[in-house]
Amino acid sequence: MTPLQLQDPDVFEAIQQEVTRQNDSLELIASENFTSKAVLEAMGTPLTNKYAEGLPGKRYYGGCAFVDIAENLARDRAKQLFGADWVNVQPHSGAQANAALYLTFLEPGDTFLGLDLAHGGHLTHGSPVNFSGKLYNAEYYGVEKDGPLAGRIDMDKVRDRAREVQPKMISIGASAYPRDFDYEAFRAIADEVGAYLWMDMAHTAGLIAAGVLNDPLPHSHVVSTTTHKTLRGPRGGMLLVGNDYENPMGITARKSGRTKQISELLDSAVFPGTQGGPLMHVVAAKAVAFGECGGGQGRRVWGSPARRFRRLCSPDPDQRAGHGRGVSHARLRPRLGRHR
Amino acid sequence: MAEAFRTRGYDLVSGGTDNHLVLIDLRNKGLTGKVAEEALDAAGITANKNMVPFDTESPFVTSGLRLGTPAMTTRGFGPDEFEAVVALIDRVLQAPHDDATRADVRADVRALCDRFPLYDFVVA
Repeated sequence: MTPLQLQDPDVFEAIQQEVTRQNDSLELIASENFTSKAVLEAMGTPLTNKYAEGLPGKRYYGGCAFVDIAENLARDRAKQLFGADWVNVQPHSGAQANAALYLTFLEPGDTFLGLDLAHGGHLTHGSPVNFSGKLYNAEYYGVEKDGPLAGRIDMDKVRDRAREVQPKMISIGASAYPRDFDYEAFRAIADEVGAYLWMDMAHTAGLIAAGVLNDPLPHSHVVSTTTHKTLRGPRGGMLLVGNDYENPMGITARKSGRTKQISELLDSAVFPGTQGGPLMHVVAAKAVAFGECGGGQGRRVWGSPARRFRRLCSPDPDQRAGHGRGVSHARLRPRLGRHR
Repeated sequence: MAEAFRTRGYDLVSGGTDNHLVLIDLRNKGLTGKVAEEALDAAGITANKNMVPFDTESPFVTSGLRLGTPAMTTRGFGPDEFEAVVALIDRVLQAPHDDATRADVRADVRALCDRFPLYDFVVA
């Protein structure tokens, strides 16, 4: 008998039934995945007890030496995995990550342009029932109804919409769009109308890390993601910047007068802007998952998911043959069920 | 998986996929997303109804079904297993209200899952 089983059989039973459901059914929800036992183990630890407001080395509480190690591992591995100058691994979810970037780039009432929810877009990209649609003026682009681009985004139409509504930010990313995005074309449109470009890669982060899909980081002002979909980590969020840059709003450091980097503004928007204490048990589990994906010491176990995604998901024979970007595919990862 | 659906007469939004998901427009099969989701769930196949672009149904009914490969790929499924998954889905959707079909497919789903063990524990 486990402590939970002894103390609270009702909750134990509910959990047991859910695990049985996961074991016995075909899980085809595109936003779900199965984490490894190592990730689950990291989540179920006393790290949940620790308050760690702030960033590693700059906390508002004492006793953070060891959670700092965990967060630094998560940050370094994520930066390596995506070739990013900066990441913040503290957002509790993708929606929280998005809240922080809205706070950074927009003022209430500002116009932004996102993919229509009815055409595959996400709730936090301007749905009228979400804060993003209530606080900001959300405009939409969509996919084509007919013709050779039926079901796909026509970049000429996106450009027309952007010229028409003059957004301060353009968002990319979707929860039900089966095609890749042309980030260079999006960035050219953003530059033309003076908008920031934000990619929400929640659904496809694992495929982007594996080099199966186009890389948004070189073209975006900010990238957000969840960590539990194709990245196969714990339920959570993350923000990334490919090449850090001076914030275009001209916000300066109080004492030195130095113009702050955009990463500094985004860090502040996560905490104290939109969150309090980070979930350090989840941050540690993110480090484990990024390790499994190839960031840091875990690189050796990366091969299999990328290879499988290539084989299964890519229409391009070259991709299927395994030409990714620079992550090691040396060894196959043992199947989850065998090393539990 | 996309090709297997196409050969069985399913209409895929954008004609196919570049990534980890397909979005099926069920209107040529005379089904809604709601009916498909419920029938598949009864057969042990978890997926979600989803709006297709320019959908004529409400968000609570929808004309689409969204299917993704990440979870079962992690579990060890390869192209052969996903071909089998498409066949199971097609069996259910050809007779979405038939209890015998649901029960038959449910048994086949269990057998397929048993070949790819997942978790052998509840809590540590």
